[in-house]
Amino acid sequence: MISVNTPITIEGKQCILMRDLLGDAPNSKYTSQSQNTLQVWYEEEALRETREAHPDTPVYGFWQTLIASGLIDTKKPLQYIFTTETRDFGYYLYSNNSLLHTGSLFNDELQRLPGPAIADGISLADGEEITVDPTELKLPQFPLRTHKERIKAAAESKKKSQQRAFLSISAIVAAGLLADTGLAYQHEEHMEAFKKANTELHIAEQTLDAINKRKLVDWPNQKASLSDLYQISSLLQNSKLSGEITFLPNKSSVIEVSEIPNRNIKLNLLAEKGIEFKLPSANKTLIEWVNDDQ
Amino acid sequence: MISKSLLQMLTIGITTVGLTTFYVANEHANRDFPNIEKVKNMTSLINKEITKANQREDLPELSETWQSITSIASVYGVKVSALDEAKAAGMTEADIPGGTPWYGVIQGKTKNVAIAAMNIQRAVPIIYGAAALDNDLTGLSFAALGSTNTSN
Repeated sequence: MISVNTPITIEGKQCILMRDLLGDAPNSKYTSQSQNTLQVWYEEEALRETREAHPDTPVYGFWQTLIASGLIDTKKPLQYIFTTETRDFGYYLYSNNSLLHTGSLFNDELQRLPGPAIADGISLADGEEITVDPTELKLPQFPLRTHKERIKAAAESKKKSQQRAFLSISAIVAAGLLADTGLAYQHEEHMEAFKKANTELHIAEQTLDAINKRKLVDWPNQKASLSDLYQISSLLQNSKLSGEITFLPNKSSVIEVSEIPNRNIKLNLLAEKGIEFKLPSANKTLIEWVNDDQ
Repeated sequence: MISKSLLQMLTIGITTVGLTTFYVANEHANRDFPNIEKVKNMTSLINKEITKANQREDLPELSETWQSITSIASVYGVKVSALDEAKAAGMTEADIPGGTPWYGVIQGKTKNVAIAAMNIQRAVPIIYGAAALDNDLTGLSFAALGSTNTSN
């Protein structure tokens, strides 16, 4: 049996269940707090008096506790519960669409029923009794609180959530900085390794350069081009020769020749030696070749 | 239904995560990671070249090379004189196949210059560059290749 305004143990914790209401507040002395999706109304003055009568004992609402324990179904038109062993006193909850109304039950009579319930002729026989063992009850998340206490709790809750937000942001930023530091360290290590590898490359290049200054891979051979020059100068004696030529490999050269005595004979001899030439004019001969010495 | 404070927390959290991630990613993107393996591979190739080059014999001393050139040139009656730089010899450093160059020019009758040049190249490492031909006279520039005996 659940009793009101007397100490009761729920979930191993001693507490007081105070009378509260569901539905609309009868007057402005009432204040409310939410429980699940429902608003629970109670008088602040009554709450203070109950606390004074039972110091250090948390005070919960009667209907608030039943809601928290999952015993209230607002789809049912009438639910009631007895709070005395003699079953002559208790409370009821009338529910009609969005209308909720709670009241007392005395000698099987529903006290102060709202108009629609009277019109429907609702009686105790139409209701469903809530039977519960106190050991099965569950405590609501918060006890009943005054308006000031709720504001203070809300402020504290806000402060806590701000602190949590600050801590979360700090943790995220710290994690980011830590990751950045880790990546920067990894980059530094990489650059150190690169610097070392680059130094080794530079040393190797300098060493090879120094060695190459003392060694020769292939002995230069420009015999063919020099031989051509020798042939030209031998065959075209007494002719006018001029040219800025080069003997570097794979480069081309041109020698301009004029005033060749016995021109046709000399040119035939040049051709026989495999030396190519062009005749741009009657007096002018151009000898051309590409240095293909190996 | 998400409460207003939870929504605010989520917004702040997501924004913070986004900004932090962007910062870290941006910082990392600005870091250059040059390819070490590539450099090591290049070093390895050069070291192989060094090993190969070390197996070749050293070039004769440049002074000896020069003496040989003048000596052979004199046989053919051509004159040898030194040049200051590669450009004067119609060459670039890239044309030098190895060794330390000493630039010069052989001047004389074209026939003699040509035959002297062939004989010199047979005897000493030398590469010929530009030549100026004027009737029967020629100036043939060259880079004599030798060693200055500098240590590694």
